[in-house]
Amino acid sequence: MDKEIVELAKLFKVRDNKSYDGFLIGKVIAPPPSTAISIDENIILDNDNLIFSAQLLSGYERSFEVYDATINSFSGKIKTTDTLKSGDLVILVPSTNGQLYIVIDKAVTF
Amino acid sequence: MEYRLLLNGKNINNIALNLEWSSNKDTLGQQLTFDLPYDDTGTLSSVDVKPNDKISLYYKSKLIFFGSIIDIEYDGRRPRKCNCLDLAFYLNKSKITVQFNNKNADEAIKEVLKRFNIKNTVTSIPVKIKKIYKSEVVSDILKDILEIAEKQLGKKYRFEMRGDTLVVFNWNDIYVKANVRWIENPKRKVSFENMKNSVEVVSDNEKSTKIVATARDDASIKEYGLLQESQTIDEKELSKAKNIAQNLLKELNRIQENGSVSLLGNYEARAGRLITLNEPITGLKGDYFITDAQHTISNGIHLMNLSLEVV
Repeated sequence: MDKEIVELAKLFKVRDNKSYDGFLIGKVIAPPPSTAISIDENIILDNDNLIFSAQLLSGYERSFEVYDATINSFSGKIKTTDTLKSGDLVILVPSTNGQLYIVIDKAVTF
Repeated sequence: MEYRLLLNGKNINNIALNLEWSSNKDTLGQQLTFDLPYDDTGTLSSVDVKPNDKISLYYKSKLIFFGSIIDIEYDGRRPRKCNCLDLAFYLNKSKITVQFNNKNADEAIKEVLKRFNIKNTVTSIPVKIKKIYKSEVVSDILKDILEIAEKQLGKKYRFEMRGDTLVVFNWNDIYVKANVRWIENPKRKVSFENMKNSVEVVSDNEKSTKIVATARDDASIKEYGLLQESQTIDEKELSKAKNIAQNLLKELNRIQENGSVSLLGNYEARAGRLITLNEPITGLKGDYFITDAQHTISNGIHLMNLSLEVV
């Protein structure tokens, strides 16, 4: 093949946009802290590939205040005591290079 | 005739015309074309070509090319043109999804090739690959793995199809012993257009973009001016950032030299290999890397045009 044509093809390839797939639904294989989430039969994501939304994990604390309620108002701190379990479906958002995924929350469909 | 062209095992030296084959460092695999004359009388009807017929080219007993006819062009009464590609064609056309979790680069390559039943000989590449490839072309995955190895080790690797085996080797392992005393059309170009004497390595972490390593050659900056390159690397490779910066500087901080020559043909000359030349008129002296090789056999004479780059 003419090398000039190969050079031209290379220039086209450099401009090729990597397709961005958008969000995915993954399945939890092993729960945090040694997480494993699968998105495909060939791909299993581990902690190196994941960023979690904090409220999904156990031990997550928020302070709150209840007002305008029918019981006496009170305020305090709430702490989650459970987290993702095996078999849960989660919403994943990939980064553009496909190596890092953000775990948003559990996925529910009707 | 020392070269033998076989169609499905049958020698077609006496009817094939204009045999040409070429390779290029950026495309995996070799390409081969030949013409078969159009035959009105029916004497050549014993040679019936169709796509996927197997073509092999031998020099004496060495297999130079093994592949299939990919397409055949018919044009009135003119000879039929047959275009052939070797087995790397399958790697260039197929996409797979695969994940490597800290696997050695050579093991990763072997795993990918096993899926296509392609025999392989892979030299040891002591680099761990941790990456996800989703629906990517196989040859791109192989090139990416070798690029990761090159960035971390500073050593270049090449791959080429030899017959039915894919071989991955250290790039300075194979020298071509060609007859370099008869040289025609030597051309040479020297330039510092793409020279870079300062390298910045930036993390591609979406949370923060900061410079993680730099490398500079102050003497070169003083002479040529500041020419800076910026390279993003995966957050995981931060520990190797300094190495990557220095390897990149070593690669880019020089005057580029490339050229081309026509020589008497030697079947060993393929893109990806090295050749030593001593051509005083244009100054092509030393070791050169073959980036493109085009061979032709016409009237029994084998010639080759090589495009070269300085190592």
